[in-house]
Amino acid sequence: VRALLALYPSAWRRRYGFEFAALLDAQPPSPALICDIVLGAIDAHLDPQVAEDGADPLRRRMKEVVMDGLRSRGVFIAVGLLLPVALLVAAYLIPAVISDGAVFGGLAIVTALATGLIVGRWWAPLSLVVAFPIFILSKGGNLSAPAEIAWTTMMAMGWAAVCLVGVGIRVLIARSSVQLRDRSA
Amino acid sequence: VAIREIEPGELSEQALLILVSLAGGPKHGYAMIQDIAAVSGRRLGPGTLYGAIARLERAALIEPLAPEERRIPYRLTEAGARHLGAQLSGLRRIAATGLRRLATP
Repeated sequence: VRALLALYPSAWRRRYGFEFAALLDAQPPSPALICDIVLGAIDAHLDPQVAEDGADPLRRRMKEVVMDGLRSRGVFIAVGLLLPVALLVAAYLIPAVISDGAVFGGLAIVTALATGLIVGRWWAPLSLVVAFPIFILSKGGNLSAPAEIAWTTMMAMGWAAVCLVGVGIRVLIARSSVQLRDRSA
Repeated sequence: VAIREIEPGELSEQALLILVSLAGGPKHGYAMIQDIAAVSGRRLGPGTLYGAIARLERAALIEPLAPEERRIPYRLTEAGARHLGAQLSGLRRIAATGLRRLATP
């Protein structure tokens, strides 16, 4: 059960990991306990409860993205990146069975979106960069026909809208449980 | 310096239960779970508990004390006691109104 601590943000683990692990050791393992820990980790990602230290927010954020990607978020990133690619490869390897690669492009986008909602705001635009070329490739790269261009444009606009909705939902969730207000003193 | 403030009436149920628990004296996480279960009949999971603890600490309504072995006790701050009092007063008014209306045929 303690291994689930890896799902929490690194800053959270640094602040609460020690005492949280002690509390977990005192709990008998159960499906309900595991669900609670996983939901707590998702909550901690959606509404970062512990501020990061440091002077340069951009550099700190980039480092956090890379390090978290190599650690606790590795599973999510692997799913978000590898599953769409695997679907695309499958579409080309067995065309007799799977004739329409666009279906897989759509699945890739949905997968990337789900990953983005779990992992963080930064993933939404990144997953767009990843998923959109996959979608085009899944259509055989044929964007010459007007219908293809229109279809692809609609998909891109729809994807952008979905990204914005996802970020909006995240912000609403972050503000739902305890309303906080910043005040400069 | 940025100070985060929780408006009265905006505490989540879990946060309210934690503040009520700490109103009886400093407690670490496991003691809070046991106390809250005794008071409310609800047993908070560790993830739920620490999510609320982190938010309350961020809002400066509770604060950690010196570690005791692997556990860290928390206590109410003055702001936490003020917010808890305001929240409970509001709930008491709501409860009184509701009970009065139920009793009225």
